[in-house]
Amino acid sequence: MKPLLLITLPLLALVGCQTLEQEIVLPGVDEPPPAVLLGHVPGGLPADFYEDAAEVTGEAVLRYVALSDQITTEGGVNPQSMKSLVSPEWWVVEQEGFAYFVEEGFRTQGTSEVSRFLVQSARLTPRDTVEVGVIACVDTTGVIVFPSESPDPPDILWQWHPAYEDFEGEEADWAAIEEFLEDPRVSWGSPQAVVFWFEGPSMDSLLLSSSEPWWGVYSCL
Amino acid sequence: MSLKVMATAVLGIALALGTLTPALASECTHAERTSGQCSGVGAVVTREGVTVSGTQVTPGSSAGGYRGSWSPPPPRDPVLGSAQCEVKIAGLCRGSSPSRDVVEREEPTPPQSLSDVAQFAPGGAEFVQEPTGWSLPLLPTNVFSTSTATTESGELLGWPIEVRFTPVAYTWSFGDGTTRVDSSPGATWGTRQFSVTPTSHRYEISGDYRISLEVTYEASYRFDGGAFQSLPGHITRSGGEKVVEVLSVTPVLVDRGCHSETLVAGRC
Repeated sequence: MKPLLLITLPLLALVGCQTLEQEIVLPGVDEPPPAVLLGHVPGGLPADFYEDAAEVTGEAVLRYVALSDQITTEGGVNPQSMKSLVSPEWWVVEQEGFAYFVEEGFRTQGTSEVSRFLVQSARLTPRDTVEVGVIACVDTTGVIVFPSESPDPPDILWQWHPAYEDFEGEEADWAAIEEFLEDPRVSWGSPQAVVFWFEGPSMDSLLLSSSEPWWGVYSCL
Repeated sequence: MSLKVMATAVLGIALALGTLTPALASECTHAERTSGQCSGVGAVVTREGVTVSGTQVTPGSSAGGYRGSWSPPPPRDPVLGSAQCEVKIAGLCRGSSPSRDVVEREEPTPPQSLSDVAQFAPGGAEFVQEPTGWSLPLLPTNVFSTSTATTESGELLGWPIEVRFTPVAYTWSFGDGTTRVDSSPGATWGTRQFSVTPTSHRYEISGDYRISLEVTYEASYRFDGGAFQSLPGHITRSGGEKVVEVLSVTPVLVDRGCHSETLVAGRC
């Protein structure tokens, strides 16, 4: 008789049949999806949004430039009227611009011309504000900058200055012009493409928040 | 020199960039623009003519544009923020396009160590034990890992990145004090049950044993579909735990030989 190894198999209740489930947590799945604001999609913008943006910012740029010219006419000493047109941050920059006139003793005569408005961007921001960027051609050719203590430019200068290429003046006219231009601090500007940025809680309450030269595709001529 | 002659000279635009050249600036007010303090555009009239920097239109002239040796900055993209525009109508940014405050992105900073990609983790690792849940003393108990290389996608410092984890070592703890490290994940028995495999283990006595596995991974990464770059170091993750019941065996005396195929319920 040989001993035989008998194997007692329990009813294979198969305790090992269950597999160890491991929950896999992928990075970031607990984070909520980014919020989508209705106002940020084109279909969610108010009707005539861009048309209103063009109209409102065009008028605002004209108002701003005219007021700036007026302030520099007085030598930049009283810029307070500008405060209501610009954002608090830009107001600081504006004051620096006018302070240059005060410090250097400059004032201006003449007016800037603004034309060729082009809305570059108009949107509702994540801050729930309206933001509009508008490009404009700002021509300061007609604004003469000169020392505050100097007498006003001779009237003949305004005849010569805008069209001096064809100016045919008398000798006295040339003398008056030459006398005024003897001061090397006299200058005038030029047309320049500028992009103005406006922002505010609504289209009716936009404030100028910045402006900078525009070097993109846009003709100022 | 008469003023008329000077005017002629002015027509030619004396373009010497002298000390009166206004400083370049980015943002500027209209007052700064008027006074020539903005972006290199302005004209200063002197006895010698007009010193011009930037764009200058001669008063009274319909012509204009850039003149002289000074060159303007290269134009930006045709439309501001065109590269970032989500919605463009007639070539202009519209709607939600982030058209300002755009930050120029630099090249992505590669991760230097595993800690830089700590937010990524290898996919789940498991193992299989054969026979499932039970085994016999002195006979091989087989285990093998099912973990494979996994690739996780996400962002690192704002750049899309893929991090790949490749298992390179398997540390088995068999619950009876035995631990073994294999470079191979092992494999199933297939039809040869209780055969010896590179990852099999023999239990000496019956009882319940907790088998656990730790998988060691190498990590590599790539940006924007490029080649994977290895990261130094390794990362170890649990490969799971299982309890195996090693059954007891009972010797039985029989009066004659008994082939295994005729053994039924402990009797020949």
